[in-house]
Amino acid sequence: MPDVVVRLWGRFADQLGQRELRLKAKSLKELRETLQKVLNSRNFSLAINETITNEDVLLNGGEVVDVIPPVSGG
Amino acid sequence: MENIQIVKGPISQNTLMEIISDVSGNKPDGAINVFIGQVRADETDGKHVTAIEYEVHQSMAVKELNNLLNFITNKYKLNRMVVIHSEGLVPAGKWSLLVVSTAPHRQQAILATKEFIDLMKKHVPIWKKELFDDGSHQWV
Repeated sequence: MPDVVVRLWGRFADQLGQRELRLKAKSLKELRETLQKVLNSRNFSLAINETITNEDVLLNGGEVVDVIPPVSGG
Repeated sequence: MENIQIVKGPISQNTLMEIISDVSGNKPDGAINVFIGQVRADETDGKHVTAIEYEVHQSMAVKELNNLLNFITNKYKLNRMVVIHSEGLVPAGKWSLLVVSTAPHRQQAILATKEFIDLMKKHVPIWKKELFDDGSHQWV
């Protein structure tokens, strides 16, 4: 199963005490489901290689996926 | 001066003066609108905010800020927009955001600044952690 690098930001990095995870997932849908359990939250977006996507896509391995909590700049 | 900048810590008054100096004197402009965002010492459950720590996804934030800047500049026909945002620790009472818009007329510049900030708060990957005077914190 493909291995992806998952980068955590804001409250999620704080919550898990780390900024990066390596997870196995065949698709973005599967990765999202895993992250919902790990983070105990559904309130995030995912960006593959720095582009936010809401669609399900197959993962080949080697992708960098950012977990984006609700933003609050300013 | 770059139109988009992420700077470490508070934004200085000198930075504002540099921007004003940079955008001033363009004769088609009749308005220069300045918005300054300052960290507020909010009170929550008897605790006071002493600072905000800003976390920024640099590459995505700069890309998204540029997209918004281009969208707003075209929509309101601005001649110039400059945006400075802080990263890292900014104490209460210090500045964390500057948005300067220039346009032929004041209405354009004021509305453009407001819409830019509204969109920025919804779309740009920047997060705020409030630090309290009792040592605790919360993400907002």
